[in-house]
Amino acid sequence: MSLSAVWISLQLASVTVLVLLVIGTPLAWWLANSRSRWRVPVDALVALPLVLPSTVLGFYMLILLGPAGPIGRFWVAATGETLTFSFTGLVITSVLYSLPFVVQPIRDAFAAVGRGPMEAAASLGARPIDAFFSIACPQSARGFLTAAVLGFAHTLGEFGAVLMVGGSIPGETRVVAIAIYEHVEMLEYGAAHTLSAGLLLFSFVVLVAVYTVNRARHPVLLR
Amino acid sequence: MNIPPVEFDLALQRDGFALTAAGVVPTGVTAVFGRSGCGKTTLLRCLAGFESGCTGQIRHGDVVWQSARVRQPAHRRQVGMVFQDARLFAHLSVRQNLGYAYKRRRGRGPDWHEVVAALGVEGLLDRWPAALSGGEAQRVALARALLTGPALLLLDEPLAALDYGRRREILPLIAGIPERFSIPVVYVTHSRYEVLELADRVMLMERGNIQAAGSVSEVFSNPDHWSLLGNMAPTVIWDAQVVARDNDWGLTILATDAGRLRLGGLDVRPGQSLRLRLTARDVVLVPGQPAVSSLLNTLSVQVDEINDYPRGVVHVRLRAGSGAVLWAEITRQAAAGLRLANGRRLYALIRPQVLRINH
Repeated sequence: MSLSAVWISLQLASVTVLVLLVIGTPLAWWLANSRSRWRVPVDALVALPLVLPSTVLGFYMLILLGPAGPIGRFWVAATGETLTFSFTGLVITSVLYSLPFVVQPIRDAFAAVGRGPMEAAASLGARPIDAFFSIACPQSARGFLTAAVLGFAHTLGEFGAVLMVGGSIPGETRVVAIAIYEHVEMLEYGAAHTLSAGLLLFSFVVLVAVYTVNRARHPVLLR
Repeated sequence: MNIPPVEFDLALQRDGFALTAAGVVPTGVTAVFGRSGCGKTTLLRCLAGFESGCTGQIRHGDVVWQSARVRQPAHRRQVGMVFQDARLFAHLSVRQNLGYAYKRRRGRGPDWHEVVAALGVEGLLDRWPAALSGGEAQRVALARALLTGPALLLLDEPLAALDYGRRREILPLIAGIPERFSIPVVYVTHSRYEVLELADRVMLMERGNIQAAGSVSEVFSNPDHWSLLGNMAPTVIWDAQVVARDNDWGLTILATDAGRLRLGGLDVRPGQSLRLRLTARDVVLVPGQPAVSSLLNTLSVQVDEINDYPRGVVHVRLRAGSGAVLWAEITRQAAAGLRLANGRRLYALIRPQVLRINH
C-alpha cells in the first residue's frame, strides 16, 4: 500500500512538472518581458498558491472540477468520467498549486538574461523564436533546473488540495502525504516514519543538489 | 564595387527626450559624436531596429528598412551591431559565437577565414567569453558582426571600456573594415580623439539633433563647433599627403593646402594620406622669416581676424597657402608688439600633430 502511494506521488509530480514546463515557460517569458498593464495582476495570480491555505485552492477546485461545476460538467459530458477523485483531477490541481514554484524561477532567469543578448541575437539575424530557443533558454538553464526540482518536490509535499480534490483512493489518488496522514490516524507510526523520513531525506538531497548547482561559478549546465 | 549609401530621416519621442535626425551614411567610417545623453546611441538603435517608437524612413540603396508603411524588424535588416559591452553569448564558445552569426547570415558575406584573420581571433576560437579580456571580447564581437554579412556596421562605443593600449590595437582594425569588407561603418563615440584617428566623416549630435555633418577636417575646423568638441583653444584639422621622403635628414615632406610641410619621426610612404591637428598654442608668430629655428615649418600667413578674449589673450585667424586657415593664441601684449591688424603679413612657425595615417 505504501509503495503504491510512492508510485502515485512520483507519477503525479512528474506529470505536473512536465505540464508546468510546457505552459509555465511561455507564461514566464511574458511575465519577464511584457509591459502590459495585466502583468502585475497576472504575477499576483501566479503567486497566490504561495500564500493561500491549500484547502482554499482545494475547495474551489472541488467546485470547479466537480460533476456539477463548469469544468467538471464539460469533462463528464466529453469522457463519461468525473474529474474529482481521479488522477487527472489531481494533475490539474497540482499544476495550479505548484505554478509559482515553476513559473517564478524561470521568469527570474529570463529577466536576468535581459534584452542585451536578445538584441545581439536579432542583430545577427536570429528571428525572435530562434533567439528564444538558442539564447534565452540555454542561458536560463539554471532557472529551468530550479523550477523543475522545486515543482517536483513541492508537488510531492502537497496535502490539503489533494485531499479535497482527490480523496484517498488507493492506487488512484492516494499520494505519500495522505498515506502518512492515514497511517498516523490508525496509529501505524512505523509506516508513517518510513514514509516521512523518506520524503524528508529526498527533499533535502534535492534541495542541496539545486543549491550546489546554482552556486557553482561555472555551472556545467550552462555550457 | 558600388556600395549603396544608407539614408535615414528619423524621429523618436520619449519622456523628456526627442530625437530628430536625417542623414546619409556613405562608405567609409562615419563617426557620430556628441556628449553623453545627446541621443547618439538612440540613433544607432533606431537604425538597427531596436527602438519600437522610432518613426521615419531608412533606406539602403533601393531596399526600404523602414517607412510609413514598412518596418523591417532588426533580424531582417542587414545590420551588424557591436555593443559597448560586446554582448558575446556566455553559453557559447568563441567559435560557436562566430558560428551563430555565420549560420544566420543574410545573403553573401565575407569569408570566415578572412574575418578571423583580419581581427586576429584564430587563437581565441576555443576559449569561452568569460575568459576573454575586454579587447579580445570586442575583437570577437567585431568578427561576429562581420560574419553576418552586414550592409551596414554599427559600432556603439566599442572601445569605451578599454584601456589606451587596447584602443590603439583595435582602432586600425576598425579603420580598415570599410575598404577591406566593402561595408560602411557608423561609429558612435564621445571621444574626439577616436573621431580624429578613425573617421572619414562625422555627424555632431546635440540634444537629439544632428548639428553638423561632413568631413572631419571641415566640421572640426569650424569655430561654431569648438565648444561642443570641448576644445581648450582654437584647433584646425588639415588633410595632408605624403609627397616625398628626405632620407638624409629622416624627414617626410607633406603637401597641404597651406603649402609643403616637413615632419620628422614618421614611418610613411609617398602617396599615403595623413590627418594633421594644429592647435592655436602650437603656432608662433614672427614678423620676419627667421634665419634658423628649431621648428621646421615656417608659413607665410596673412591676418584675417582678431578676437579679443578675457585674461589678456588674443585669438588670431590666419590664412596660408591656397586658403588654409589656422589660428594662433597669443597674449595681448604680443599682439601689440607685432602690430597685429587685419591684412598684416607675418610668418607662422608651426608644430602640427600627426593624427591618422591612411594606408
